[in-house]
Amino acid sequence: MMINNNFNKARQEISSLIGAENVFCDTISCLLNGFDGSPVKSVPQAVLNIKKPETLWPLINLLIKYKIPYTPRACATNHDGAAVPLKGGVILNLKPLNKIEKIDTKKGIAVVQSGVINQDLQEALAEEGFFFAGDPASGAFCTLGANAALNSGGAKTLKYGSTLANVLAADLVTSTGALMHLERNFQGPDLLSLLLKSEGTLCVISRLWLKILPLPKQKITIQADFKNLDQAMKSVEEIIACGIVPSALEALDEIALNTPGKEASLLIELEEESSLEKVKNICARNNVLDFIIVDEKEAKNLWIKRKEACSALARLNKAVISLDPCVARSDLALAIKKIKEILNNYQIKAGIVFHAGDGNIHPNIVCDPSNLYANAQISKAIKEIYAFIGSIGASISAEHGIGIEKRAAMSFMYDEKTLNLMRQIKTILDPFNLANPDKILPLATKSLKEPYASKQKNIIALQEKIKEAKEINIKETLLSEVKEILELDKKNWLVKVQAGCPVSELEAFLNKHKMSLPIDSSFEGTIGKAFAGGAFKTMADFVTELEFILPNGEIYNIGGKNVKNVAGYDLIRFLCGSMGVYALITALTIRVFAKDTKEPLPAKEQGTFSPASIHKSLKSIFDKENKFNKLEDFNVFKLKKQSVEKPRF
Amino acid sequence: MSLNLKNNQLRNQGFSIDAITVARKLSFLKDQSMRCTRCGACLQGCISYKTRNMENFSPRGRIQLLNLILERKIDIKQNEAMLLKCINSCTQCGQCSKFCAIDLKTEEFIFELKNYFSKSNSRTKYLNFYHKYSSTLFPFLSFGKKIKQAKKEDTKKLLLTSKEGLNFAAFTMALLPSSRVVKNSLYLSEALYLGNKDLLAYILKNLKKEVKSYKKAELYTDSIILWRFLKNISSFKEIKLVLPNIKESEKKDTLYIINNNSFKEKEDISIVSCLNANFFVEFTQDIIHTPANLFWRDLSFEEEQVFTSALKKYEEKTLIALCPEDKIFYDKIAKKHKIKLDILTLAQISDERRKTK
Repeated sequence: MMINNNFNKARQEISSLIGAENVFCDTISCLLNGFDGSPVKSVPQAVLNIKKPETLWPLINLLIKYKIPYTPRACATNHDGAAVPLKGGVILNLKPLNKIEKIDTKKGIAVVQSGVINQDLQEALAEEGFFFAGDPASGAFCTLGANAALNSGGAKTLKYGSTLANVLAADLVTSTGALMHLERNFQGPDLLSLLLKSEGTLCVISRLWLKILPLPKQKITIQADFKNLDQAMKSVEEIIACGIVPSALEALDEIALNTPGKEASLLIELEEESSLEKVKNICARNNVLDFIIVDEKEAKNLWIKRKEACSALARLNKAVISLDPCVARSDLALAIKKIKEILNNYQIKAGIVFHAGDGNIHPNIVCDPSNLYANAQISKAIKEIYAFIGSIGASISAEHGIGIEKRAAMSFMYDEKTLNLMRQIKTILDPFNLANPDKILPLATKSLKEPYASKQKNIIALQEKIKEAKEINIKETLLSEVKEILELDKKNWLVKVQAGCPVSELEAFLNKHKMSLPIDSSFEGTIGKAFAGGAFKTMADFVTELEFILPNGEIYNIGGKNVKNVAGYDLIRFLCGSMGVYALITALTIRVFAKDTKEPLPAKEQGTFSPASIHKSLKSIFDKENKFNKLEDFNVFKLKKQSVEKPRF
Repeated sequence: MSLNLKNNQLRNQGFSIDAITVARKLSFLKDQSMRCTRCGACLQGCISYKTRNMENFSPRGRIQLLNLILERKIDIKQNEAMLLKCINSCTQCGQCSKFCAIDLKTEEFIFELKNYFSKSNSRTKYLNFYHKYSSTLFPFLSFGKKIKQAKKEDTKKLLLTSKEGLNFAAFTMALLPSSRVVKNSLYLSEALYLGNKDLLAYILKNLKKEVKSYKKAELYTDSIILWRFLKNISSFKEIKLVLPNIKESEKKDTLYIINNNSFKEKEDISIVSCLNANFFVEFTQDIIHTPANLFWRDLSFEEEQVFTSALKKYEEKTLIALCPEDKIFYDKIAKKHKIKLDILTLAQISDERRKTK
């Protein structure tokens, strides 16, 4: 821990700002607020209770002025060490901000402070017949602010998207000390997602506007037990392949189940009765042992059992380490086999629970922290698992976040230039490394991944062109020769396409295969324009992989075939609607759906955006020489102050 | 020293029994508290965490605190003020262990911690004494949990039971077969005693919600303190007080703390304590103060004199206490001044009655 006297200098000012009764400097408070759900511990210098959201802005400015590191923390139920104050400093205890401010069922919006517990909101909404789609397993004891900061997923992600897809707007204080109200509907790059999903390294959230949905009319919960894990995996594959999108598709293995004779059990939740027959047939084809449609009470019990599975495994030994890699659905069986093999090689016991629908595996390793030999074995095994995950192009974290635990493993997943890009974002927005310092990005380790290079000839030519040009206007015509449809992955329901491909052409191609895009197909223009032009601000929810070129001619590739990915900063969402200011998008992998099952996103009028100083500082990273589209061109509404806009709702 | 040895073997080796039990307890505590994975599932049940919103007052935090104490990372004397705050904020309701996936009994750890610090803090001592007492005498009613409940569909009457009326809950259950105990009322009396405003506001809010969910139900309580308190709150006006009826013939050699009239169901009651509790300066006639109210603090010298002189009048007779706290209180004074008294609680009478039936 870095000893820092700055806090003592600032203490009086802080006390007068938030009240002396909310400043805790005693040994016990400090010791009890320096841990979270991970094995990592540290000790802060003080704990500050934030009781009013308004105090957050002046407080953070004060902390920046005195250069005191700060770490936001509420319930600290995360598994990755993101709430541990690595450099000492102060803990901002956001749990007292637990007010549900407004529930507007007509507009479908709930306004909450960041310390509201997920289940409290769900209960309040259930009275009105609504629900919030972000539903992590720890929903009963984790806060919504943290859900947004880690973009947590959960069982319902496959159908409704992860937490970020359900956040409409937020009030936040950035690490530069600016108070901002950001909405996803704002034109321009999606700053909201970039700042929110930073595990507190770029901002502290004070208030959230969440999308709420009416409760489904009916819910059919099915428990299907299989003798063999492969059979279960095959059924999952087939269920998804025939176009059904269940609201939840969970699986448990034998150790997690603790029942002899059954190797796997699936928990399927459907909202349409029509697909029940299909699911039944598929399971029967794969030799299902029991196929039970459970009633409401039983379903509740089953869900409790599933959600408790992780911590309940601790009964087998003293502690549980929970991993959360996410692979493409078609790789699921292979990945599980490989992970089991690695764990067996090191003689480690682990129960595997997974969100089968979106390829997210949770190997819960059971261990004894005091056994040093076993610990060394476990860390070797985990390293091997991450190396394997990195090698197949999947994500090391689907919902838990990176924090400290997976920091080093980032080097398996991203190449050096991508890591550097993320490092630069952190440095420019937080020059003194005060906001939740030393998280997410590996400190010293160099990337073990080979730098990404495109094999497409037309893209290599484009790279050369950009490198040589002194100034280049990013528009559709630039990509007139980059319009191939690269791959249609029927198993995973993904299509990989180059950005110059017109939307109508792509839709026609998909229609041949009885599929359709999640966006309005009557949109005139290329898929790249649809993504970057700002017509579909939430299109990034359906994009799993993005290839783009920066003004220096370097090519980057982020994401993969996995549906969930929370590793690092959310550059895919950030570049959605960026209008060619920051990067040239060359290829995308988009989720597709069975025809006529999903209502496509409507196109909105493309507008301009009003750049704030944060846009400018980000521009200096992506585009130092100001080669691409100029920010000044968009400067339509000149803003007087840093605080961008007042809350709209 | 191996702790697996039997007591006899250890004693032969020259260890005193006290040292053995302490060592055993410590190693047990350490083993148990080390098992906590800090997953945070306990947070959803803990009422002190929900109202104070800080890790210091959460079950997970308290287990870590125990760990730190056992590892000697905390100087107890220097940090006594915060330590006591952390420990005393626990109501020992047992909700945390209900949610714990590995069944850690946090409330039992706190029991040990409270025991450890009881020398320096009298209120903690009483609290602890109460918990020990209630769990040994009424094992089927361990606080906050296993109360037998009627099915939700059959519920017509809702019972509010206070902490001192815990055994009354059992008693009234016998009176009202299709009744349901409202969970939050158990915390309510705790909040009243501790004088915690945040906790009080939180519980009242939830209590209103819970009561609203049973539309046709009537609200009953057997605790005078709760009844008094809730009567003044507008949304609980229909609350009725239920006290047991005792026949004339049963009263011969016994002494009642409350007036005979008060044993009937009545809207307004006047209770006069035979033990002259109302004489104390700070109390006025129209507020009921059973000795239980005094239970939470140490008596002054004068107060104790009044009580002992009153008790001495009834030596070698049977005394019926209104609630277990009363009984503990009388027991304590009687023992101190060596007065021979048979003290029973109302619930014990009802138990005997049931047996004879």
